[in-house]
Amino acid sequence: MPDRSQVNLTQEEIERLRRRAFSTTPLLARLFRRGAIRSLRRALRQRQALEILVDLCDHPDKGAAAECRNCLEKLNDELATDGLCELAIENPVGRAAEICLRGQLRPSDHDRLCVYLFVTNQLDSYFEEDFEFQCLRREYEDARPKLRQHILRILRSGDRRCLAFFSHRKLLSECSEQEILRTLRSFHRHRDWSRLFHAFQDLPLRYGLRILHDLARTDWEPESKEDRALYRRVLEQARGQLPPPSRPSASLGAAFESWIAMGKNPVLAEKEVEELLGELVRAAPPRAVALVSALSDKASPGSEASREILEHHHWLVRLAGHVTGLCIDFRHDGVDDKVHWVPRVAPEFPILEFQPADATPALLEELSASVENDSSKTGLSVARKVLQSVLAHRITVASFEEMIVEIEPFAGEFEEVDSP
Amino acid sequence: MANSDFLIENEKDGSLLVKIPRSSFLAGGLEHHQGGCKPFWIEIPDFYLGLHAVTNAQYKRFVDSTAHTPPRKPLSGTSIWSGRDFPPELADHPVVCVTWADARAYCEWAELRLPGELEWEKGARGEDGRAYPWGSHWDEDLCRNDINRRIETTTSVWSYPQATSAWGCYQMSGNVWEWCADWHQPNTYRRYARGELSAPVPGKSRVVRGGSWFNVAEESFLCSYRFQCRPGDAETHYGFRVAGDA
Repeated sequence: MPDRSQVNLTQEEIERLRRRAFSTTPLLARLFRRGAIRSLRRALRQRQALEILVDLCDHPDKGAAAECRNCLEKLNDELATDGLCELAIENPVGRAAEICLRGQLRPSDHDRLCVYLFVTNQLDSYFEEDFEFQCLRREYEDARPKLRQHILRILRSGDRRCLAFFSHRKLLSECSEQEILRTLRSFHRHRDWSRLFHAFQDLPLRYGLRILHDLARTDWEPESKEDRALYRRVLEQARGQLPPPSRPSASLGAAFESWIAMGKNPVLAEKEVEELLGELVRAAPPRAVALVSALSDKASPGSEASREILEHHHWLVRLAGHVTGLCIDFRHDGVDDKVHWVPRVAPEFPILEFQPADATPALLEELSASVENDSSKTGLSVARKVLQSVLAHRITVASFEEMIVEIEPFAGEFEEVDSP
Repeated sequence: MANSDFLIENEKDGSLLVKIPRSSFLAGGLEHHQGGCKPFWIEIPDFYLGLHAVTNAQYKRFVDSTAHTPPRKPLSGTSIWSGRDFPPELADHPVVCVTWADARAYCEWAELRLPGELEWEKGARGEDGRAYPWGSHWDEDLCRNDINRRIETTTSVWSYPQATSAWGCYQMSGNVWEWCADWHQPNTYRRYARGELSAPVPGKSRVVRGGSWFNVAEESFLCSYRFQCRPGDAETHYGFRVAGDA
């Protein structure tokens, strides 16, 4: 219920009331304070007025403190209640939170209610409102560091219901570098060679060759006949070789990254390949890079689109093709281009970055041809052969399911879950 | 502008600048207009160079923000701008009819600068002393010049993408002559070749580089061709590109 008697005080008036509320003038202090409280009670929608009243709840003037507590606990103005709950959210172990709990006050906005219930440890009530953490996640993302820390403290407090906050399913091939490394470490720690071998088949050879190197030192072998055949073949092909060290690529930089990001916006993401290619012919480079970025989510390496980009007249477009993984040429170890920056910004050894999930029969054919004519001098011939085996396996086995992992970044553990 | 990115976008004017890394490159040439000395190796610090010449659209941002004089009436030919506006279809064409001081004022506003003559040459020529940005041989189809322009003058700054320099800069030959920061002195390159790297003393003209739509002779389009122009002249085939410190 809105309280129509509420007024808006000026900054000056509030400061004057603050001085009066905490006055130490002999004899008159109590009188001043009562007057200030009366005035502040008429300005409860103002944060500063609420703050003064909350502070007064701890005042040695017991009468004034009781009056303030009583007034705040019985708030019936929605905006004033929201304001007090915000103070509680900001300091969930402070006086405002205590008053809200005692007065059973709640924010009117549902998302803020969820945060409020959570941070004030009213977990049963919280889970009634937001059992899948949808609101809390959203609010957590926007929260200030102090509030985030408080939320994390509760999440880690041991209530099993909170563990689900951290769970997030993802394809392993779509995880970040950090997530992939954590996953692999977890498999290692648990000596989970079977899942490590599955990860090998899902990840670029930059990881894959290391995985094989590690698996070769165990006496494990896959159970299924098909997997065992692949495993033996790739071990034989790799012979424990690690990926060649590659120099770090030059930074893409904010400008280029922003063009790549533009390609992910819904307007471009909804366009068909033909439409994107049509526009690519006449677009200036910044727009053209965004188009390549959009195409990289729709077209496969080795496709007609990929070839057009590889031969595009604008070097920034060719570069975008390389950094998005859309353009790969198995015939060459590295990226060759007449513009200095293209090979320096693109991955040094694209074959080690190739995502097995992008494999197509046509691409496998190209790769097989390059294996036959391999004249590599950089030790990448092993990578070509291993990749050929993996792609052939993925394409020819009856069913190949990509690995899904459940990410628990705070626990530092990844656990595979059954595919839905 | 301390930065390690290979490509940056200058917020103020939207210029895209590509990094030219510190390294030695082959500069100059035997002909009088190439410096009149044997080509020599010289190292200059890394810097950023505009990916293309400053466009009409960019220059309008400058004019609108500063009340600077719009491009001037040329000494010969027709003005491109009408008052403070240009034909919309020329938005991505290089701005022309600007004096050296206009170009410098733009750079100051954009918190950038004009490239030095050696910087410009390295941006065009790469490290290997090539004659033209695209390689060793003249090809009239690889830049805007008087042979292929028909009845037009300038073209979009993104044209001739197959003819960028080794660093990826567009139109280091053709389209418009580009103002450089330096005074033009005939003996500058001979001094540089001897290792005397002090800036040229003030003279009557500034260096312009790259050739333009107005030119026919293939020499004009050489990366090493040092041309000059009075700083107060504003012509329909003179523009500029920006540079910045790395």
